[in-house]
Amino acid sequence: MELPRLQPLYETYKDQGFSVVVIDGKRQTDLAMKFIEKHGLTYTALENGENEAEVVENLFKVNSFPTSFIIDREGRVMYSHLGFEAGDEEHLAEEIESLL
Amino acid sequence: MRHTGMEDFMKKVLLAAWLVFALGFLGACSNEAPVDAVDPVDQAWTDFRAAYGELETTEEKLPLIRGFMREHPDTEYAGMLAGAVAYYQGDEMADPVGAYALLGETLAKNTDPEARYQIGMAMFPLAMEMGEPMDLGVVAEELAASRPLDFGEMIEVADAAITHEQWEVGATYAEAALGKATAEAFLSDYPDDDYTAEEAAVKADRRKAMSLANLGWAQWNLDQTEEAMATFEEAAPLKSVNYVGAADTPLDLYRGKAMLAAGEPVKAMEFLTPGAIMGSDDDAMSALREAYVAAKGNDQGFDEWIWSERKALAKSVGTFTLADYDGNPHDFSTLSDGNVTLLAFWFPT
Repeated sequence: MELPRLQPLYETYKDQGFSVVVIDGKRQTDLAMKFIEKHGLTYTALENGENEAEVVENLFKVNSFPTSFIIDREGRVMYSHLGFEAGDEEHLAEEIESLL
Repeated sequence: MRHTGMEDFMKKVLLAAWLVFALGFLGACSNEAPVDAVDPVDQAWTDFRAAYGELETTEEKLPLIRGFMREHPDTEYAGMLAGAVAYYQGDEMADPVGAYALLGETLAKNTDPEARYQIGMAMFPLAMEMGEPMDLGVVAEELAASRPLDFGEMIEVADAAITHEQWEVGATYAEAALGKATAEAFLSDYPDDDYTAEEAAVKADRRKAMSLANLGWAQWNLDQTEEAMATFEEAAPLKSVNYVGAADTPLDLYRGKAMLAAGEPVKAMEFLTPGAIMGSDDDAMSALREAYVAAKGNDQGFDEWIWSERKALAKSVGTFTLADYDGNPHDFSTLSDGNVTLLAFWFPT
């Protein structure tokens, strides 16, 4: 997962009412914390819950990683994207701009 | 004489004792050697992984991967790195020719059936991109000659073959995969996991949906039109959708393309719309545009129509609460309130 690729997107649009929230689907706490620190990621990073509080699979039915949703200002999922490869940033930026 | 006899006797005792000692020593050596001495290839792999873990960019990673592969072409590890060569060099560096050449050299020197399969699977899409002929069936058959393929491999071969229009190979392996689309077959693939009968049945249905979607599309392209329609019908009740409402198998994409080819663009649009709009599926999007043009005569108003369909299909995210890494709970609706939000699911590697 090329999570650091989200950082420039976040910095470009955050002043226009844009948030990034990432959820570690597998609760690999130590690894995740190290990764976030090493890459200087400043957006919100949450840890998936356990059992009743588990959301990634139960609520979002996500079992392929990375998966991204773009949610509009009214809280509706307007776009979903599987994988995150070089060049996907432009795709995501277009979608974000169309909703801002 | 007696003395000499005694000496002979003693010599024999000493010889026997030495033999016992020496054989024991040799035995101990041969028993312990593999534990104490690390195989140089395994050591190289350990070193490679440690060095790789320190690297961040493709430009840094690729030379290391290529170097290891060149050094150790006839190892299982070469197979494990084949996908990375195709990804980093073929996709990220946009150099399919270079990736294909290295994989080809490696394959020529590799004798491990598992690695040869991985290398072959990595080479195939590169070969297709370059217009080089390559029969995926040969890659699959070679592994199948050493052990039975599992479901994942069968569907992987079917999917790759169908993506690159090798319909016969696609149909063969989709049909083989269908044979493994049972709860029993699923459970026997995961003997150490605790799946309930109900969970295994769900997994089996998903296998069946995947197999039938691929089989139907292969049959359609082999001009087995009626069989294809029957296969799609069989798959339809097994269809499941993801959170945003798009099918989580290629069933709707293939059905939609078949309908478009059959001259039923309105039906095609129904099948193609969720995947094209919500699933970021470029293939579905271009087929949808084609269906739209076939139905309306031209593509005027297509973008506006897409936008209205998107709003109609979009699902509201309910709220949920999760903690950050400092243990502070966050309510998602508060985090995203009034903002455009990118919500990404990941796991660290």
